[in-house]
Amino acid sequence: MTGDPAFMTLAEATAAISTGAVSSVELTKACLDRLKSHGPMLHAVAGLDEADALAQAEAADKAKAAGAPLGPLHGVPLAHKDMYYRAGRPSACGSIIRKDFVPDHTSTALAGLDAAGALDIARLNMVEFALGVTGHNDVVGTPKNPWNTAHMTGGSSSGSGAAVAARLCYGALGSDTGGSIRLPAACCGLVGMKPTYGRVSRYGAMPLSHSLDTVGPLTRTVRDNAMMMQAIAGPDANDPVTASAAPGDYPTELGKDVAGLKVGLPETFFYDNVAPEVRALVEASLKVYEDQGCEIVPVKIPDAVGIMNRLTNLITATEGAANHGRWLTERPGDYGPQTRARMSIGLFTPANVYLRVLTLRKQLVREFCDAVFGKVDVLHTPMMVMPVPTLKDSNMAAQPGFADYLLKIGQNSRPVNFLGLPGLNIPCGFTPDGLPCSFQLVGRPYSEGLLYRLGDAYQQATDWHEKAPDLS
Amino acid sequence: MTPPDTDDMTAVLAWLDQFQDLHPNGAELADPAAAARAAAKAGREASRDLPFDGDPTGFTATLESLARKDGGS
Repeated sequence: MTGDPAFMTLAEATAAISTGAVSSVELTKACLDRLKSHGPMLHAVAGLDEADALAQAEAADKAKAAGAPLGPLHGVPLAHKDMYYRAGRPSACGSIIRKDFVPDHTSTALAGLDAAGALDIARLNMVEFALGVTGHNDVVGTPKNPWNTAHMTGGSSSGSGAAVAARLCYGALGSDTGGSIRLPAACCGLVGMKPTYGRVSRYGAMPLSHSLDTVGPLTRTVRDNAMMMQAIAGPDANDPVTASAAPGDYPTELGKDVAGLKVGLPETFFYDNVAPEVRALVEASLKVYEDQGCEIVPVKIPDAVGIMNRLTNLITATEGAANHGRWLTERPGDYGPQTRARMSIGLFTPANVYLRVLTLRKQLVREFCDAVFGKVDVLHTPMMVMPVPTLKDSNMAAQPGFADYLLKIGQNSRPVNFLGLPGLNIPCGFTPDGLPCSFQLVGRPYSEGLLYRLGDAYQQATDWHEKAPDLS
Repeated sequence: MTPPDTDDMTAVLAWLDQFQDLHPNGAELADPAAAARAAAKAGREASRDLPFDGDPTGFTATLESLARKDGGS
């Protein structure tokens, strides 16, 4: 093996451990070196216990040497958004209010990764209580984009995006309530999967909005993402909204032929406000699918999608306010101004409006699936409609106009949360300022395997995912 | 009873127009109960006399009914 092992993909790292080409300790030391050297500059790390990380790696190497059965992620160092509870370890959720919180149970998602053999070596920074799409955190500090530290990472899984892109770890969990996996993945040049609502258990993950919250991975390749998703997907009695059906075998979807699949090109909504340089890259990605034998089919998007962004905000604010009501009253000064403003709005939502929105949701997802997935297998959209903004330009706090600005950033992400559908972010190049640009694939419920198949087909034909930011 | 779909949409849109412009100021945050009363009154007026389906549960079941039926993912 030559070069820094931190630059391997997760799939390459697991293969290298399996064959004995590298040890878990070697991989962990490589990640720890980068977490210590680049983590502070990127403000990506919320907590790091070096001794514990090395102890996990040594245990993984001993298990392999003893001939124990190896899980599919055996010995590979991961790190996660600081809102996944592990019994006995702090989980601050990007906040002052929870800075001393130590959970007494471990999240189902972390338990799934543990069972697959992965290591959990650091806690990663995030937007305060996961409420924010730009990545800014006014109370514990804001992560920076490894591709250009003057630019935002996107949020709310800001540290996850920065850490995986900067090769500080091989993959990370994020959470996605309105775009919080896909937007940092887009800003940092990563693959990010927001699964179907109910595909992955939220037990032991900090709740923001129980009607919308989803759990998923950020990785450098589609294959890596499918491997992590396989470890966390499935029913869980501790989260009553999880789907009863077992998940598919995602890694086996990779490499299957995509010829003949119908890829939907939205005729309305998803290209509203799109910047020309973003449009050019996203349209070029569509051409890759055309070259692989996919049929590109224009699709009319139901008009109701136009208000789903705002409906998602309403649900998030209302449920968020229910979760935070006591702290909003007793400790308002411990919140950042934007978090406080957005949560407080939810205190004013009439119950009948909130329940009507949830009632509408079931009707609208049926209409959307009929209109779109009655014609195509997947929908292909820009992820963000603008190039990645600078930290300065996107630092809206609670200034007038901040709500409209956030709506524009989340234009193409939030409707997918409202509909509960799976959405996969895939990098497709760089805008002239050198920042990553991505497209999004959206499928019908529980079609994560198909999205992975198409995402992998794109990456087999391109090399955007092989590029790394220069942190020297 | 499930109400006519357009009624739910009408009520929600009426509220959204107010919700979008609702930026709590210092006074409102100091007295959220009064602000909430005013906001709730506006919401009630926007949705007055409309029937209502009080069953918001089961979204996962809705999604499962929309998944592919041939076993493919």
